Amino acid sequence: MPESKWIPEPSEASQPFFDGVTAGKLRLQVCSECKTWHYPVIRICSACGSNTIEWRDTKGKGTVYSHSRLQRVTHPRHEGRLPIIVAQVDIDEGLRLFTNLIGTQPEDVRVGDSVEIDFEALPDGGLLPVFRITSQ
Amino acid sequence: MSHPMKNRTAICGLGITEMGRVYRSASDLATEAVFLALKDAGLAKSELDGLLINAGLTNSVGLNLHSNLGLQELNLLTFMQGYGSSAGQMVQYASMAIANGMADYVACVFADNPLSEGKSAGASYARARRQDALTSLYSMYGIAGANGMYALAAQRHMDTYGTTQEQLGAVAISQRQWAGFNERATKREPLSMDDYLSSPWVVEPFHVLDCCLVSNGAVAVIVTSAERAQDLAQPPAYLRGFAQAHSHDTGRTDRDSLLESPASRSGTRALSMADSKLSEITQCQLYDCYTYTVLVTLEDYGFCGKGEGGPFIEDGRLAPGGSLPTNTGGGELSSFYMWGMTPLTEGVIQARGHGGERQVKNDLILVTGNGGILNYHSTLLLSPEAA
Repeated sequence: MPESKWIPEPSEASQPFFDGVTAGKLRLQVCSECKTWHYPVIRICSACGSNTIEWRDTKGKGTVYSHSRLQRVTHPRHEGRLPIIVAQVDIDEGLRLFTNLIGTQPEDVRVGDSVEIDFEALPDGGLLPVFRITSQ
Repeated sequence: MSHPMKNRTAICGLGITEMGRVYRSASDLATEAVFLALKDAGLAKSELDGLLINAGLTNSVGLNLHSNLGLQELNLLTFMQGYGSSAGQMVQYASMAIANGMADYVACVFADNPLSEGKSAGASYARARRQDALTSLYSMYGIAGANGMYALAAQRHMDTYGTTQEQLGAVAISQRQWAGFNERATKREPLSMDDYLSSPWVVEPFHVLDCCLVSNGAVAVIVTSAERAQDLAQPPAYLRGFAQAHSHDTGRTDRDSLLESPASRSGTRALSMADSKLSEITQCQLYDCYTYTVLVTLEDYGFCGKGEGGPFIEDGRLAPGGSLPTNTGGGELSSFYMWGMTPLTEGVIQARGHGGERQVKNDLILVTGNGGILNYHSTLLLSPEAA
């Protein structure tokens, strides 16, 4: 992944996530024993206690759990772009992720809209995972 | 057979410092609050043998408080953290210690001082956190702390049940009406729906007036046995029932964590301890970090059905003259933000009958605490009668 001043150097623990981003995938952790998916990054499965955790590509698809419109600049990325559509999406693997939504007008978003993973090229060179609305 | 803890203890002392832009250290504020509570209760400092401490955002009051207070013979001392549920939790642990003979008079104190001179409330409460690669994404998304999380919660409720902006506004307006009767309240000027709707957005659907205040200050309460409380300076606020319930929302889809909080479990268990029904509650002092928190808490306790909170509150039911007086001191939205001590403070004032113009029927008072993003919950049921 290209150098980004907005994204610090990943740690060993989070490197696989960013390798996934570079490959155009939403790559997350799954417990090798009980197959429960996890995010944020863990070392011990909270469902079964196993410490055998692997990284796998998700399908990158889901639905909008909730959404809001950020009306204040809290990061340089927001300059000139308000409102930013902040959302939580439920992906098919059973995880609820924070993200931004693209491909829609802010006022058109509803809970339950279908989404899929996409990546925004940041002006400073990095890539940001976001979700694109696929049907409303 | 009734619950062994029902009416065993009472709150006998209350100390409230100046609130708001009071630029003092949290430990000084906490020290003053404990001395105020002792004086209020008519107790000598030497009688205090327990101290429970909870720090707010700045995390700048700790175990050392006992030396600031010159307490050499404590039988109970610890620092606790349950975020917005801490105040209720401290009273519960104090009660259990007292009922089991570990201590006689336990002070429970909260202090915070996030406001600094020349900085806005919002800027003061936004703490710089050390970022790693993954959390840097959250900053880019614009997930602005608790404001952003509770805004998502409110929007989910709006999309799912048709809750309106005006219904959220009704909470802010009714609490401002109550604040008009409270000399301690930071914001007392009347608030109209137009004022509410035209106030700046923070993160839609939240206007700035959907969000609680930021305050410097401290509050202490003193808990003792029901018997001892009867002989002190103030009318006792008996602890008829209490409970806690906690859940988490970390990344999983198996709970609808923004629409249903652990409050329902906590409420059921506290009412069971109190041998009481929900319909016996005559007033509510609810944790109100946001307008939405009041709405979802009323639903979770069962005052109305899930999803019916909007219509339930829009007609002034919570306001002065309404059938369910709620946050009668103005709450965290209009009086001051001392985490769970805000609702507890007003609950004690009301239980004593010291509410003045804002005094309402106090047979059974619901006091709630809520922490995290609807994760940590505490319930206290207070009454002026040990019935």
